[in-house]
Amino acid sequence: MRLERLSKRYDDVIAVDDISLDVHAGEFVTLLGPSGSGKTTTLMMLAGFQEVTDGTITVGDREISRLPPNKRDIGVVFQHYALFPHMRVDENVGFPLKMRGVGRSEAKRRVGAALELVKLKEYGRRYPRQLSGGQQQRVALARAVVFEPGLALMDEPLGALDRQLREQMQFEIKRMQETLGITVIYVTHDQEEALVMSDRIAVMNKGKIEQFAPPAVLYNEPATAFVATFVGESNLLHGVGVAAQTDSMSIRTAGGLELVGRMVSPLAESDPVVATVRPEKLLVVEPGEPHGEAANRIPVVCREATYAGQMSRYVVTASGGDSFVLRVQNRPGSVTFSVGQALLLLFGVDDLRVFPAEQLAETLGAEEAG
Amino acid sequence: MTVTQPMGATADLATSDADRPPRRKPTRAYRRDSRLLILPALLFQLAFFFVPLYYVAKQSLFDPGFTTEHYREVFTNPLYRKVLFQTLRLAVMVTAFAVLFGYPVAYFIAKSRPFIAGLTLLGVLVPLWTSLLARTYSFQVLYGREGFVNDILMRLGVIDEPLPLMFNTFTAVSGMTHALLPFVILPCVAVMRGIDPSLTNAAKSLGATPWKAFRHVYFPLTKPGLVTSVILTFILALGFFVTPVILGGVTEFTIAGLIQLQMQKTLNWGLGGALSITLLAFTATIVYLYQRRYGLDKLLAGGR
Repeated sequence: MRLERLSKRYDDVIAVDDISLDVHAGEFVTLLGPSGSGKTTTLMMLAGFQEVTDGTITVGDREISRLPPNKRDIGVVFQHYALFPHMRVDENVGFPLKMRGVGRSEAKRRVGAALELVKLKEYGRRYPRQLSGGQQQRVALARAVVFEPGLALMDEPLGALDRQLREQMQFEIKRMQETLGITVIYVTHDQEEALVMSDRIAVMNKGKIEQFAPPAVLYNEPATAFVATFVGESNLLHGVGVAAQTDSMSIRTAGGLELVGRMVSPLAESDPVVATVRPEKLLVVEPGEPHGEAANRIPVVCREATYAGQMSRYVVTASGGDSFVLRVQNRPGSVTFSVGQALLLLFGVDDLRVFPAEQLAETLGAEEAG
Repeated sequence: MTVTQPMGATADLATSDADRPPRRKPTRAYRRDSRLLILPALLFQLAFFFVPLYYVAKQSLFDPGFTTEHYREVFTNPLYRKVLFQTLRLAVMVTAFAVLFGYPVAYFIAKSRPFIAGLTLLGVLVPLWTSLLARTYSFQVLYGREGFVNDILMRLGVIDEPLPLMFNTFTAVSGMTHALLPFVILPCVAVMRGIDPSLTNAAKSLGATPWKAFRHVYFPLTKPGLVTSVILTFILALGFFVTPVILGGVTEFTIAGLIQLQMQKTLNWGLGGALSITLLAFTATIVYLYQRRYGLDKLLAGGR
């Protein structure tokens, strides 16, 4: 499936701004972003519920940008399931087959297979309101794939479920997608869900795609300050550039720290910058304790210490006032630190990522760590 | 999540639509308290409906001793049978037209932006606020012998003689349809507004053409509204008095007109009572059969 230079404008508001995306067959791709980022609008254009202002959508070798929804052969799973309340479960799942004029015995067989796939074989004769939320969502999944579309769209399908059920359903959706080998475009604002489920994630913000990459790349090598702050937790440091090398840069933070980090996009001296570092990439040792090489070594004082079972969370502050949140795995024999203790904070060049400051100024409402 | 209140009643708080717990049955104390609430209306109904109705029924059977004469009259006199049939025919026609015109209007209102929907709804309601009598007589101004329509046609030389536009089926049906249209539109709008718009989208994404999405998904979900509309308009049309008498004249003479004639002109209260009770029984039977088919409980349950 391919999106080429897709745009959606309402009067003078641009909801989706010139996005392009190339998705392989059988891939699980998530559109991740805050509300208003254009992810749902993109999905609605794919499904055909929203008209495309500009650009093209191609599935296989078929251009579908201007086809009505019923001619697109795309399965859609809605946030609130959208099951037909006046039809039984088997009638709901059989609906797309009925619309396609599939014979009764063939339809019955396929409905049975689809319900078996979502483990609801015994529930065919019930009405949707007699099922729990999780079961209803499974019916919606079965209905979206029973007509064997090559592509399924899912619009925050787990948004209405509680946490435990969500994790179970994430696994089930993945399993189903792999069994059927279909392509899935999945929309969510939950970054954890996106990381767990996707082959690749397109992070969207203000109608544009900020980065399109596999979860690990997205997490470890965010391409923009927005991605760094929206996906996972990050420590955020404001500062100015001091000296730029080919791909690294030294900066001075607001608290006066001199740090070296990876320069993600081109920057020059005295440019305002933001730098991000993941809490789990930070290493902390007692002063004088032996440690490996680290480009950044900062004397800090422990301000907060929280024991949380398998790990501990600390807040440490440097003399200039810069604070860092860090997480340390609790292994047998590992030391814990206490509030007021003087420590040494260590991290490498690759752990600190330096972005132009205006990238973050543009993204109000992004989650800030610490 | 359910929270127990002092009264022992249960209330749903922050129920996610995902896993709705089965609603707990109201406790006995709660039921007793809520029963008291209908007492004023019940007393009112007793004093102003059941007691008078009792006397009407009594008069139809005792004149002064027990007699079935009035009922025999109602059922054997061909004139009355004809009027009964005419009333029924009129009510069916009016109901059909009201649904035919009202349903699309309701759909339009339910689908429109709030401003347009409000404006249209106002257009539906304003006639309801205007006196029925005034509205009915305004039909006469339009369609009477010297009415607007005839006047224009005469002046244009299309006709030499005024057309007999009044006192026929057409004027009776259009007058009554107009009066009863809000009783179709309002229940239908209420039900249509409760339908999740993503259901139609879901149907389309699953391969339904817009027409099939309407026929298989949207329309069945509006049935409770339709059932309410049909019952309301039909019952009201059966007993309609002012409009058919003024606009239908003798052509569309209805039971209601006949009852008024017996009660006030010929002062035959016994026959008038028998006609009233017959109309009541007739209406009740039709509603009963209809509810057996479509379920009165569905009316109260709304779109569920």
